[in-house]
Amino acid sequence: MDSLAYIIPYHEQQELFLFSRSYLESYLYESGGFGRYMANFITQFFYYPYVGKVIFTLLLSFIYLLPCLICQRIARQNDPLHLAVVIPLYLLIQFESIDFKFYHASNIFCYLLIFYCLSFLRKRYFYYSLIPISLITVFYLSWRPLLTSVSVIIISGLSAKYLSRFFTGKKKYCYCLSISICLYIGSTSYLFIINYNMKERLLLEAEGHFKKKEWEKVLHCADKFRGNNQLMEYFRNMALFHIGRMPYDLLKYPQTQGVASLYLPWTGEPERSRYGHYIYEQLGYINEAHRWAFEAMVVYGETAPIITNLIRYNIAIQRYNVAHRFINVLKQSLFYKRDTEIYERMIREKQSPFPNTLPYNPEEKVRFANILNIGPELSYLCDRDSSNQMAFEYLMSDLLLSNQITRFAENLGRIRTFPYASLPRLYEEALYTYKLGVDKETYDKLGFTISKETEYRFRTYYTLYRKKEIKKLKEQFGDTFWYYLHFLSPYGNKIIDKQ
Amino acid sequence: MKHIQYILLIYSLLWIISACKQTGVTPDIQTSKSINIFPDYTGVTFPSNIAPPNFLIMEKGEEYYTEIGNQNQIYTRLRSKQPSVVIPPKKWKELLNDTTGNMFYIRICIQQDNKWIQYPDIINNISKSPIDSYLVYRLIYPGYELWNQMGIYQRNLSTYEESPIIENKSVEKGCINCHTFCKNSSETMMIHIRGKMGGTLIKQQENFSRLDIKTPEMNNGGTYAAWHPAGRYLAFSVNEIQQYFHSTGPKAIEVADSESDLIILDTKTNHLITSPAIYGNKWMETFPAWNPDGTMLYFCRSKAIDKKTPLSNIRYDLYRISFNAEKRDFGSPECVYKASEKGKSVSFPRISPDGKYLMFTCSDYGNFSIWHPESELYLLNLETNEIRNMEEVNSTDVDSFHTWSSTGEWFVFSSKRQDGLWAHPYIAKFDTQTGMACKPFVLPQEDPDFYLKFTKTFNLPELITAPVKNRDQLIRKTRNNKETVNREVLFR
Repeated sequence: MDSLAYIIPYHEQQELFLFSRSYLESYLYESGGFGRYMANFITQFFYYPYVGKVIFTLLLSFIYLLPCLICQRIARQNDPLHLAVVIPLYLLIQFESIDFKFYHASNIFCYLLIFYCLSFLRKRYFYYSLIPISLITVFYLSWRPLLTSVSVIIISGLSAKYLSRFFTGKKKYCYCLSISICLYIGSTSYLFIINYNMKERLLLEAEGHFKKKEWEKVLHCADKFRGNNQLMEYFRNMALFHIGRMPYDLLKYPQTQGVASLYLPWTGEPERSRYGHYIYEQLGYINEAHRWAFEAMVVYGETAPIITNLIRYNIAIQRYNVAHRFINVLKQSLFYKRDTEIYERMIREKQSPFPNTLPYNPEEKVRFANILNIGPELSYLCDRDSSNQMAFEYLMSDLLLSNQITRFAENLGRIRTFPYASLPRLYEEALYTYKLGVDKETYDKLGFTISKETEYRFRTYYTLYRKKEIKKLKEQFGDTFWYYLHFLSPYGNKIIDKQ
Repeated sequence: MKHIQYILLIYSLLWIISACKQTGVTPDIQTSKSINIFPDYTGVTFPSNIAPPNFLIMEKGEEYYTEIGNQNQIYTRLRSKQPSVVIPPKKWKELLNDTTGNMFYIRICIQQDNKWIQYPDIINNISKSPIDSYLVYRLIYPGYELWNQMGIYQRNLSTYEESPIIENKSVEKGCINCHTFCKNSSETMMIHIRGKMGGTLIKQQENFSRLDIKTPEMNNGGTYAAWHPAGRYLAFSVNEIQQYFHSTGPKAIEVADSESDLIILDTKTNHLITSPAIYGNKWMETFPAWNPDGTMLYFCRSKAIDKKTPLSNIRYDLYRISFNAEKRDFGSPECVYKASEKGKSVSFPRISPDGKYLMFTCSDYGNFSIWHPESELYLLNLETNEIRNMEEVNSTDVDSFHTWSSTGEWFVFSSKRQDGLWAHPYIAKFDTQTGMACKPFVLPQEDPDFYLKFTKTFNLPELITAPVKNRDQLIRKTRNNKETVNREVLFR
């Protein structure tokens, strides 16, 4: 069950069940809507992952148990092959995909429960009531789960009626049961393993750890992740900043997207909309975080994380009336209700959930965000708040990853605001590269010195480079700026000068 | 014994009935402090066919008592531990019928510390004139670029019934935007759809067509539309719209045109007509609006801009140009109101059905006033050329997109006065003689909490006299590519 544990909170975060009439009405008049409403009601309890696991297990167990009980009541015999177990096993495999909707399972459960209740009627009434009840419920729960439920009952019933006579003895029955169990377990395990999406799991887990500020765990997920993924690189780089390793270890990890490993450029793709806000929120650039969160709400509706973000951002930019509206939405939920007290207190006391929020200066010339490129925004943030270390390190990383050494050198002076013991390794490597390309006077103006060790390392690097000993270069210098510039940068192996 | 049972039963029933019937309360204290209710339904004039304006009492108390009546009769008494006041529709209808042209009161008493406090009565009016029976709007999250669920809905103003005219789930989640009607009639209307099933959907009585309002030589397609009163021509602005996001501060977004012009679609021939006077690189023209006899096309015009022009320097003046429907010919543009000279910018000109007044939105710059908190409604008297700020309806936040009722005695507009983000439809009575409006009120909702929780914005409210029918046909027309009429449009 733990291999699917990451799915439980994921489903909970996709819907926000509200105890309100309008919420119910929004589902009630749509075909299959009530089934989705019920599913949302259940998934709200996934707020507590352990409760979610119990519910999930019970649900699958009942989907097996109910057809057996129905079969027993109607046919007065047990299905020797336990064919009803196929449905929960199938659902278990389906649940490996985050795209599989929980309501598929809950709707089957609802139908089976209805049929089980009906099975207490006399046989004749049971059959009479079956069709009208099915017709009535099909609008609310949709026809697919009805078909599945009816099929499983019929198949189990037929198996019970016609096959049970062949397995009358205890020995025969046990023999049949053992074979069936082996078959079910074997095929389920096989399908489960081949369908298992480890990448999806690691991404979701990384996001979960990221939200809890468990930076080392984010890095752990990134280490385990095989292949390249922009979202993982995005989470990992933020984690690197938070553990203070960004100017040292940035290039220890692949930055396959170049600067787009640092942030998610706005492309208008709906799927991205729910991740883009993280970086801006941490940079204190709340207007931009708000824009992303708003776009996410348009795409994904009023989910708990989106509403929570919108509350926090609107409090930060002092749009309290707007924050209140979202608080009123959250108040209608069961588990997020208590958070609203915190937000209401923040509003009363005019506190900001983000102490580093870029303040609004009405005297400042109107400025619009560059939503396609974070570079100008980072410069702006550094200009507005020279103590914003994240903006500084991201600006430096942005310039390094985009081969813009001249601009890097020009901006390096900002480092003096921060208490680095010495010039970080990557910065020194980039600065040395800059030094090699400019005259002494220009370099001296910067007021930085390069350590002997870095000069020595570069000489070693250059010797290997000239000898074209690429393997050794990668082993010894794979995490250096020089290696990135020569071999990895998606912008080519040339320094891109100031535009 | 059996008789005693019957007596007890009857007594119980009588007790239940009497308990259900609310009785008044005797106030212990009378206060002169006016009461705060939400939405603000105080001192307003309601049309004689509006749904009950349910509201919340925004004062703390142990129990609440509300009495609604006129000078002759009390229509309803509501006593509750909850501050929400839900007026029984039947009683409200009786009140509307009996009070037409007169005032009615809402008397509220609140029990605090076991004492009933009576607040001063809220006095409202019921107009003799009804409002057009349906309001059409688009419901959408107030987002910027992305969209998911959206739809255009019609709301019966006499009840709370809301039904979709078209939802984007019927058109493969395309973006459904600007809808407009000819003289408040649901028989002649248009809707823009973007996406796979994109096009401009035009309904004229039983005829439906879907057009692409763009020719190869045009940079942009038809955007904001206005029906010629005869129902044959449809004026469009063709805009290149850009969005800009503020780096800091409470203002989130700026929307501006980088170019715009005017064209007219002849729906009979599917030809586009324009003139160099309203189409070209020198000026940006937008927001067309016809006068009631269709001889004059009003629009907003600004100097064309380049990439360096600051957005705050773009200001639109009010212009008009004559149009001869017979010859399909234009006159010369003339300036009606040079707002730019006063540091203002005009958008959304709308002329009253009697042709006497032109209402427009005025903001500090630009034309997308729905994102400008300073935007306000202005009124131009076309007979005297007097222009005034409609202070009686404006608020401290956005007051923008407005449309007249078919009689000109009512108008509806979008206001963000509640919180600055969500636009809600406000309705106001308009005196066609004096040119003055009454205090506006927000569209009544069944749930008194509605406007505190609802997170979608009401976009482009328009009044229509009858509901849009043939909705299935409308959707079918959109879905069925084969039925799409002539997409070839000529440029004259």
